Amino acid sequence: MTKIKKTNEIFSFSAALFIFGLLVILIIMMYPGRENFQLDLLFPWSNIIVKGWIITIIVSIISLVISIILGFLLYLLSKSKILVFKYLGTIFGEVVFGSPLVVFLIVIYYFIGTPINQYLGLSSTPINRLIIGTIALSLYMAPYMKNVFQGAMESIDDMQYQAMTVFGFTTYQKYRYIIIPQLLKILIPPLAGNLTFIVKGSSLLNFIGVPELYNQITTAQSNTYAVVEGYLVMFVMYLIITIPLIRITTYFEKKVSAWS
Amino acid sequence: MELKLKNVCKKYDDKDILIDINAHIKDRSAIAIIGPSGAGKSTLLRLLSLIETPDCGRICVNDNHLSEISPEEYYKKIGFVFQTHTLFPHLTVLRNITLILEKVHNKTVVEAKKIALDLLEHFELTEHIHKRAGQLSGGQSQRVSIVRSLAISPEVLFLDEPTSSLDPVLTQEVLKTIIKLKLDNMNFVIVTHEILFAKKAADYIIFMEEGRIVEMGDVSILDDPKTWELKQFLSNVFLW
Repeated sequence: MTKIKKTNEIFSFSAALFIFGLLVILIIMMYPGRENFQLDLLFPWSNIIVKGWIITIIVSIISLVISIILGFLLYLLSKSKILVFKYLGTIFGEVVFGSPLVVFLIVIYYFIGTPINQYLGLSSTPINRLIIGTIALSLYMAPYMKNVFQGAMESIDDMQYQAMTVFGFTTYQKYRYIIIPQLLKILIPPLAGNLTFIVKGSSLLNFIGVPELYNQITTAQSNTYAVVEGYLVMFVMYLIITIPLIRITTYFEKKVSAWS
Repeated sequence: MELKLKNVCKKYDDKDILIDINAHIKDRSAIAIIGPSGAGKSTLLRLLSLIETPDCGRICVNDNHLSEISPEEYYKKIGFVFQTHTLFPHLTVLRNITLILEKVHNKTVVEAKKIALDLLEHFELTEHIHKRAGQLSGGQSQRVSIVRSLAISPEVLFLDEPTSSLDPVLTQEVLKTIIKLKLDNMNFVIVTHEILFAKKAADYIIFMEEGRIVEMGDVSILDDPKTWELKQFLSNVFLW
């Protein structure tokens, strides 16, 4: 029964994907400028486009890792009994939630990154911009990560902690066998969701000249005039990263909801 | 089992929850604590199980002087069933039981599995061994919680209103399991609102009101209460 259901699900998903593909082809066929649609103009630029795509992935993964660490620190701040620490975290969170990502990135780059560069006597190389951009993106994601941790911690109810104590588990055993396995499964869907958000958000690093996918394709477009073709390639290349992440998120969300 | 409580008191935020509790109960295997909500029943049970400590007085359960024994040592000797089931949701029914036996009670994998399977069979839960808590009904989850607490062969099992979150049908399912404990001569102390059940399952009754023990004795006190408070309580319970 489950196997039939699974086969049916795979078939339906493939059919939906096929219909969607047809729709995309139809849109391209109906596109008024299709006579001049020349994807091959971008072929000589494929190396730098792939390089940009890889940089997007690397920047996203590094930002995810840093923002997880910062998010956990913000979570600890939010639990601090020292109110100044608690409010420092709250104010930072409100600043982030109140700012568009692109504005936040530009402000961090020009008002914090650049002065630090000048102070240290560093020039603004692509690598340098990449580092500042990654840090800025991580800072922006940190309060979102803090919320993920808060939600996960709250999902293990007090009764479970009491039960662990009454059963005589040591602190190590509580974390090793009960808390961390639950947290990992609870954390994976929102973390994968946030990674999708980071991948999409990383396109805005173009505004500070980071050579990621958006930036590299823009370079290719301005050299070949293949503007529409460039955006189509960009669209597909982002989806190649984000669709699997969304599928992973849904898969683990289903698994976790099966517990409750 | 033997319970000794001497001048026990407990406060929460300066509010008296338990006031001068004294009792010495010997040679009883099933004790039911009854009384209206807010009487301090659950708090008393939590003190008896050392989940909390009293603000004053002394408690002794069998040979365990609770002010002298370490909680970790005491927890290895007792079982506790909470108002709602506390099964670990990421583990199967079987693993919920074997994990504690292996990690806390140092049983081998084979021993732990045998103990768990024997108990689950005894309580007619074998068909659920590979399910997780989310796949069980409230009654089944609570029954597994009871079995999990029994697996460590506790000296005493404490049950804190184990049916309070269940509907009447599921309540019966859990109560039948507790009656089985009585037939197995298990020592247990239960806080319950089910008076008819207390009459059937317990051999000693403690009636509490406003933080004090008002009356205690054999189950016969439920038919022939000595105090006005217990009479009043029973007449309210059996209003219909």
